[in-house]
Amino acid sequence: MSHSTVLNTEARSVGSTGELVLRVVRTDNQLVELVLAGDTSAFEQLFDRHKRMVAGLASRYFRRHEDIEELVQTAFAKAYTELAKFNGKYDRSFPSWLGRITINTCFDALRVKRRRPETLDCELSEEDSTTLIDSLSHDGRQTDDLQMRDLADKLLSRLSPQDRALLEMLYTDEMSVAEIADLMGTSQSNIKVRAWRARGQLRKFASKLL
Amino acid sequence: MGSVNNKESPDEIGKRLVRRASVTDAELDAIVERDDMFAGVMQRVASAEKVEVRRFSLGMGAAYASVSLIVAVIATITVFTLLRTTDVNSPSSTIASSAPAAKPDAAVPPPARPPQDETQVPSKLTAGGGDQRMIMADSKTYTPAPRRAPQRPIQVPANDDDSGFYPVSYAGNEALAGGRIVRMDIPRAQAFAMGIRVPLENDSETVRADVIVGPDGVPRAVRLVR
Repeated sequence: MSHSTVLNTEARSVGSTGELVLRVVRTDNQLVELVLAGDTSAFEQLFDRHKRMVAGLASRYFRRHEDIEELVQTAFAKAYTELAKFNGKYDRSFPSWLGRITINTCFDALRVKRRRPETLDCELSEEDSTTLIDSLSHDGRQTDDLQMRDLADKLLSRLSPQDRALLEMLYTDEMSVAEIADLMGTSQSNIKVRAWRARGQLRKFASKLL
Repeated sequence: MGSVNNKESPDEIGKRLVRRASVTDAELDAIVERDDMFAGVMQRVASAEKVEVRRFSLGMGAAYASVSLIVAVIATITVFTLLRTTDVNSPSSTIASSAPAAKPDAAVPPPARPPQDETQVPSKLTAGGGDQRMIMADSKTYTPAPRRAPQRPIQVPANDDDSGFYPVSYAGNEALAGGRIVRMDIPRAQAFAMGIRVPLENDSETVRADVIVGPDGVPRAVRLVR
């Protein structure tokens, strides 16, 4: 084992009593092997390491906290069940593989939701539109952020969840087209076309505010 | 509507709109930092495994049921086929076995009716009390099989006994008590009329036969003499 590998897999820290604590930091692939060997605590480490990323992806498709929480749990449960199929050496990284599972879980949930649609009033009143425009003119989030977000959410609910998630990945997460294509398992040109259409829709909604 | 941001393009407004509508990092942290998150994951894994086991057992049950059904169908078809084969073959074999083997030199009287009606045997030929097998065959009820049986050989009237006499068809049902055997030469045509199947190419010729003549002088039975 080379020196650099040792540095990568070990971390030194000082404990509360002042003694030097050596903590082994395993890679994702090593943790996966441990999980496959029956070590559940290794999967808990994987969960702690990547839950934020999974929640972030789920939040691009769903707004409600309960939905996001459920999606995170479902995605990790699927990953645990299908962990034997993960081939980290030759295929892709664990976060990428997990992200694909999360996206597919979101698509499944959207499909279920489409069968039971929720009625949502998408029309904004004139007062709401003025408030929203005023809010958008300020950079950063304000104290009345929650209300503004609800208004923006109401307006953007006209977009399809896939288009909206794509725009959020582009604008909020500032992901590249290649990253999104890899995550969604499609080609970059497909992502570009979808993004162009989604932008057109968004432009149409935004022009109504002006 | 809003006149504040007229200078901004719809693209910029849309971008800000998307950013504003997205879930914040603080919210995400609050969601994922819950203590029971991982427990919920493992609970889902356990329930998924239960469903898998149930699905597997259900699949095995369905497989067993399918195999049982197939075996039952095959057994039913086999039994049905055997029963039909037995139905078709048993009456003819019974009748055939009940008829004595025809002697090679014995003339065979022609069948009384077409072969379609082969289940009924002439009941008149009881002269001399030697037609027990005929009577048995007559009383036998034959259930025709639904499938048409292959053409069976024409049933010939059986000899009255081992002596080789054939009952004369028009002699009536009288007993032979007091009768006697007379050897005579009879024309072939007459022998044919008595029910003895003889070639009629030379119908003027005679054949030698023993005729049982009753006390009233009426011939009861006849047999050809070699």
